[in-house]
Amino acid sequence: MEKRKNMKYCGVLCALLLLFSACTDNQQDRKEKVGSLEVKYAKHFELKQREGYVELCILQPETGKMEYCYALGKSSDKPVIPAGMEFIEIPVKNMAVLSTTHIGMLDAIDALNTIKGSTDKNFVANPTILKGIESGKIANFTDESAISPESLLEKQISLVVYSGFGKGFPNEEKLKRLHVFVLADYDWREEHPLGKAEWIKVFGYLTGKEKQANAYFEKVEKSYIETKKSLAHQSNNSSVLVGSLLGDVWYAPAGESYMATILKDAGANYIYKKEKGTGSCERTFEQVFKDQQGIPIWINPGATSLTNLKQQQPKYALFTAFQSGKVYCYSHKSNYFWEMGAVNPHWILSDFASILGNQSGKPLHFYQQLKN
Amino acid sequence: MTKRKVHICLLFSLIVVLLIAIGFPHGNESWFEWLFPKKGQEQVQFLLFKEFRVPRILMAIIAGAGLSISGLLLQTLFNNPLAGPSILGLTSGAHLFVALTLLGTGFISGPLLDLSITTSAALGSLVFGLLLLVLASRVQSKISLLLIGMMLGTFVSALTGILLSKSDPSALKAFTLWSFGSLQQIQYSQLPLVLIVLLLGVAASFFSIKPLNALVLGERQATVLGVNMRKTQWLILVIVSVLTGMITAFCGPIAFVGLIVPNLVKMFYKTGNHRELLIGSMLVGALFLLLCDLLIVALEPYIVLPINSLTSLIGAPIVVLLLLKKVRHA
Amino acid sequence: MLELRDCKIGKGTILYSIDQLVLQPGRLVVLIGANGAGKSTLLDAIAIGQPKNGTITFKGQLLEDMTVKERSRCISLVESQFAGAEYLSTVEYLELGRFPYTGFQGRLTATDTAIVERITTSFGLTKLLQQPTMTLSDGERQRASIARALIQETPIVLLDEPTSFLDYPNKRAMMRMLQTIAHSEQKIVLLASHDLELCLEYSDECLVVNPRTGQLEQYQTANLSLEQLIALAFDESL
Repeated sequence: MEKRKNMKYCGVLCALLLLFSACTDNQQDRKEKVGSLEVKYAKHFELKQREGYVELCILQPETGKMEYCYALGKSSDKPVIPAGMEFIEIPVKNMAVLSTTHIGMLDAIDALNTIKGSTDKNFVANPTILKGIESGKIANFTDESAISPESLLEKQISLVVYSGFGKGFPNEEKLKRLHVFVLADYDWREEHPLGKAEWIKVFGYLTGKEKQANAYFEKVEKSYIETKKSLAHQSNNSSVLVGSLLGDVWYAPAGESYMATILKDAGANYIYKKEKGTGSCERTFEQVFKDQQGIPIWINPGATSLTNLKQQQPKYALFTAFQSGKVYCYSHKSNYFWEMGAVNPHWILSDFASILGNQSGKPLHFYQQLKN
Repeated sequence: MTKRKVHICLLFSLIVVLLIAIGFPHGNESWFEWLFPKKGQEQVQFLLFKEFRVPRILMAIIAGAGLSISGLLLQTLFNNPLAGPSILGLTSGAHLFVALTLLGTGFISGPLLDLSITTSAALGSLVFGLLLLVLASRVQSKISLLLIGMMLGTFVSALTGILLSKSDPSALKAFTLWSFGSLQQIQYSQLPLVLIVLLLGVAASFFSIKPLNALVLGERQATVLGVNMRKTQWLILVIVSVLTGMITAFCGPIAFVGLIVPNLVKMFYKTGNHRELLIGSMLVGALFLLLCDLLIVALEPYIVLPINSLTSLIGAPIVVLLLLKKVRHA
Repeated sequence: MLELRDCKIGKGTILYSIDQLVLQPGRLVVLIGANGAGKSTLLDAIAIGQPKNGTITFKGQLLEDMTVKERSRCISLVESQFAGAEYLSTVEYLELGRFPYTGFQGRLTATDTAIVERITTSFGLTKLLQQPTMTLSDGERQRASIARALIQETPIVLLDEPTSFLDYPNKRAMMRMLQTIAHSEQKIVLLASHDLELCLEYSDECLVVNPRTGQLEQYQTANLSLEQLIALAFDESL
């Protein structure tokens, strides 16, 4: 009799202990979840896990200071939001995106159906989005000032993502009263190719597809780093010319820019790699003519064929790269490049490696060699 | 100093500046490097000289002369020292056609989209020149023609503005770049055509010297003296349309040269004889634009200035000075 | 001789008509009328053919049929006001009088220069030759205008109130000179004027715009008195 009683007590004690440990485990788990979420390369946003919500902070590219913070969460979780932070209900079902890179990122995590408003259709390459615009299911906003509150309400858009430019969004306050939030996306200011691609995580959290986003990014990161490593031992440092004339001035990426970084990672000897700056640098046409003597490869001249290139400026025919025929530009018209390039820098890297002759057997994703 | 001596001085100055421009070091070269190139650089230097510098320098001379002649002819025809091709709306015509080509809002410009900017600018100027000729034959007073030209220009600018507001950023940028003007867009192979048109224009303008001399006294007196007003008007408008059209076609719009140079020449020559004024305007115009371009080359290592901005930068204060001087006279 | 037939003078509305008017060479003819009566319009009609109705013939040839050049060797016009032209010097202005005779670029031959010199001297303009026309006094400019018209050497000289800016002695001198020129060079000199007394003193014929009859009436000056003239032209008695 007493043994059974003991057994009972033991069982209850055990159960209690288990319960207790389970509870403590949960507590500890929750404690572990609160804290920074890893953002490895991107410099202009931060993600933090908080109690019941994810804090997304957009940082000003110039100062690094916080420009805006959003709390992404479900209202059913009743999270406690500090003052000054906007609460965005996730997953966002209907959003407007004002840059095609955003379309590319949403496409990568299979969340195109959240796009109910898009940027100017002349810049869009994605056929699904184009069809949506044609049929009227997706509103076509040519730029920030062309957004009418009526179209936002009609499509029940709750979030507008735009390329941040340091100043506030036009009519931001009025939009807030309509329960439409705006989010500045600074992926275009990221210099590191992987930093730019990492913004896919923002879209992941916004659409509730953060797992997919993280997985996609890891894949991209792995591919990029592996390709870069394999090219690091190349002795063939081919020289490359980038850019074209606009009016009387030649614009080319500066040495610390996004494009220059990928070129360096691909093993290229970029002609203006020593130029300081993360934007573009300028040259006179004469200067470029002198510089490009003997440079075998030319990328991004902004033309579709050699004839087209010559039409733009007959003197291009004097360029070494033109004469050797090694001129490369985007193949599917530039829209596809701008849409898909940001989130897939490993494709650009691979393209450059192939163009430079440092890698063989891989097809070109964005670029094609200009023919006559 | 007789006018002949003045002309010889001007010609001499032009030749000197021309030589300076030819040999001027671009970037970190040395003077006349193309004549004495470094080893292995012969081909490059030769190409630089032939394809880049010769067209640019010659175009400066041609455009300077052509625009100044146009300005002089128009100023006497309209008895207005502030007249120029832009006042008549000729350059606005070029603007509109180039805008249509670049900004191409489908429903208007189908065939225009295939034209190069050069062709469309030339077309625009000529079409408007023709329009003005037709209007001139129907309108009695010179002031009316001038006003019509101005209104035409304003109207067309408004149209262009609407086109611009509907266009995408790359087209807008292309249009803006064109409107900066450039002496570097012309190719070596196009030089003969441009030279021939200029020479024809100059030759034709010599036929207008006599009528212009009389026009200084007003239309009525000129008619009594024996000037055929219709023919003279026609001749001048054709010369101006063709010269301005061609220059705008290859260089984009270049402001102020046609306005200030004739006035400068008149101020210093103090004569009503259009033969002297014509030759003077050509030489001074060529010299002015060549100097402007030389200045741009000298500043290139620091900042690239568009030619249109430079001519306006220098031209606007000069116009103000001229006006102040006029006020003091009157 | 200059003959006008069936002309209706007036821009827009008709101010008066001329049934027949014949002017013989060697006469100084004055045109009298109230302000706005249409004196300048008549001079315009002869000089540049506006307005066109009726016929104006010179030596039997219709003015309309003449080329601009032929006409410029036929008729010269002194306008009522010459404000001067910027940058135009007096000598250049006078030389423009030879416009109908100079070649392609307007260069003057020795003959041309001689004519210019002769008339310049007789008008006392020699000292003013290099001065810009804008800096001349009103009187000097008027003298220069008339000089220029004479340099043009036309059988018909039209003048629109040429003496209005001259002082009295110069007015008389001018009228005397015009009379001399008309008589000695057998020109038809027709001038519109308000100086009635001087007109009566020097002219051979008076053309009067009669507002009552709506006609241009031709009178021999010898037969006309001041009172009559005033009554005819201004429709009122003294």
